[in-house]
Parts: sequence; C-alpha cells; structure tokens
Amino acid sequence: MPLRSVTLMMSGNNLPQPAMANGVGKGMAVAATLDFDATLMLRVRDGCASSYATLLERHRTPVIHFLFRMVQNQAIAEELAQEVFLRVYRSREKYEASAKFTTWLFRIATNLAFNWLRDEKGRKAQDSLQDETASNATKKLCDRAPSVESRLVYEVKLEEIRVAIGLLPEKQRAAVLMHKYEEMEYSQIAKVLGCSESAVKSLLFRAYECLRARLAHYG
Amino acid sequence: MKDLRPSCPLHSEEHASLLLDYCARRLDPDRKAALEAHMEHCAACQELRSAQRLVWDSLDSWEASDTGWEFNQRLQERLRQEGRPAWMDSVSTWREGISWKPAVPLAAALALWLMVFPPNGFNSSKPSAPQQPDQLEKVLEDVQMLQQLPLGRR
Ligand SMILES: [Zn+2]
Repeated sequence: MPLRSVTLMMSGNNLPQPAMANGVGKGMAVAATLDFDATLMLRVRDGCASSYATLLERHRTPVIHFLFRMVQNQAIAEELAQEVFLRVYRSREKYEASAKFTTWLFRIATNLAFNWLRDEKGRKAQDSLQDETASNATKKLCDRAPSVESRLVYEVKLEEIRVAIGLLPEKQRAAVLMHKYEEMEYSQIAKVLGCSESAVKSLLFRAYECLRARLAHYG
Repeated sequence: MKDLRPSCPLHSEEHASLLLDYCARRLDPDRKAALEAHMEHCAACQELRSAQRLVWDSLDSWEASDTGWEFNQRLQERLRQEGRPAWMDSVSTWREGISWKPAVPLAAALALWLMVFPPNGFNSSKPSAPQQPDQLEKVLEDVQMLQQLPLGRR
C-alpha cells in the first residue's frame, strides 16, 4: 500500500495521532506509518480481521526479501516468512504497542533466520558454497554461445554478490541487508539485533569493508 | 582479493558511518559538503567512495521475488489448521471495525482479505482451537521480546 494512502487514512479518523520522530528528519508521513502499523496490530488484538490482512500486505514482501537474502533460498525464505506471520498472529492477544512494529517483526524474522543458518551450518560448509557457485557460473560462461554472454556475465556477478553476502557472519549480513534494502536507521537495526548503535556501525564497517574487497574487481 | 585498506584517518571504525551515510545519501548537507571538500584532495577517500558505490550498485542489482497470492493461500491454510478464532470468520467484524476514509485503501485491504480468507471457506461456528504447548512457548518468547525492546516511537 502506498505511503500516501496510509497517510490519508490517518487523517480525520479516530486513531491516535502519530508520534513525531525526534530529530530524525524523516517527516510526518513516516511517523504516521510507524504508528499505523502498531494501530493495525492493536486492532488485530481487538479482533479486526482486515487489519491482519493489511499488515500482511504491507510487510509480506520486505520480510520475504530480507529472509531470501539472509538464507539465499526462496522456498526456505517463504517458509520462514510464513512462520513470522503465524507468530505475529499467535501473539496478537498479548500484543502491546511498546515498540515500533517493524522492529518487532524484523526481530522475529532475524531470529528465525539465525536459527535456520545455525542448523544449516552443520549440513553445508561455507567454503564449498563459494567454490561451487563461482566455478559453476564461470563454467557456464565458457560453455555458452556469445549471444547469451552478457546474461551470463550478469549471472556470474550475481553469484559473486550472493557468495560475498553469504560469507559474511550472520549479524553482519543481517545488518547490511537491513541497512541497504530496508533503509533502516542505525538505532532500529540496533534494536532488531539487540546491540548498541556503535556496535551496529562497527558491524557495518567490517561488512562493507569485506564486500568492497570481494567485489572490487567489478570496478 | 585487492587490499583496499586506505591511509586516510577517516577510514577507521570510529568514523565508519560517515562514508556509508554519504554513499547511502543519508548525510546532512553540512557534513556532506565537508566530506566532499576533503575528498577532492584525498585519493584514499576517492578510492573508497568508488569501491563503496560499486558495492551499492551491485547490491541494487540483486533482486528478490515474492509469490504473493500463493504465499497468502498457504498462510490461510496454516491459520485454518491452527483453528482460526470465530472473529476471523465474521464478515461483520471488519465492517464495524473500520471507519477510515477514503475508501480506496480499505477496499484494497478488503480485496486482500477476501483473497486470503474467501467467504465460502468459512465455518462461522468453529471455535478457536487451543494452541500447542510449543506454540504457546514461542508466543510468550515473541511477546517477551517485544516487551524488552526499547520504546521505538519516542
Ligand atoms: Zn580521506
């Protein structure tokens, strides 16, 4: 749902007025969005079924995309996302708007991803992931006709991005994905990961340093 | 792997967010101007800026998909298996519960709702099934996690 629609829905109704984001400079519209999610969840708690559908529609794609980039498997990502929204539903009766809804949502998603990655680590060595994907992609490039070369160059690059992200430690990976794709502030990433803002900056510093080194040859 | 460790003192963990914010276009105008003035004369910063932009562009090209309707269908089925409470089957609940204007976003939510929970699949007299003990435990964990979060809206 576009932000504009959400903002319009906030005006002239009986919902609580949105809290202003202190000094963040993101503006009224975003602040309204923050309150809107929590308000929807409170309505789910009180038995409003369409509010659950609205929350699902608003957050399904970001949650699935985040989980896909975390675990790098579409089927697993969707399965974990199902669990995220089931947990939101199961928690409805005890829900309190004590924190930003998306912080809670991504914290559930992140914990599920961490647990899955830890289980997966035992089954699959990270080193073989790098060797296999890079060499497979390169092999494909050598085997195919020049007409599809540009597409394969893109695929090779994509594999390298996936490998580079996949080789980051879990917390660094989650921090980069939330910073880059969800455009979260350091403070929100810190709340999702349960650490300090300076720890998040440190995670991002190390993660991007690693990514720059791994992806530098595309320059 | 190319060593990009630069010589400029700005490239320390202490100043980590400065260049990241710059590349993410999140730097305020004053700090942006100051950094750009420094960059004009600092080869290490120029190199790092190029490398970071390359990372940024690479990540932009990594797309992800979403099955949408199919996902909703599966979720609907799982909610049904759990024993959806009676209120989720009541069409009147959403009609009374929402008084927002304009109607367009509401209609979109309703359309989604009808897609996720079609009326002919409802059993309005079905009571809410009790949750399994391990599910209850997870619910309590999630709620506890929410309560432990610092206040995000203040
Ligand atoms: Zn410099």
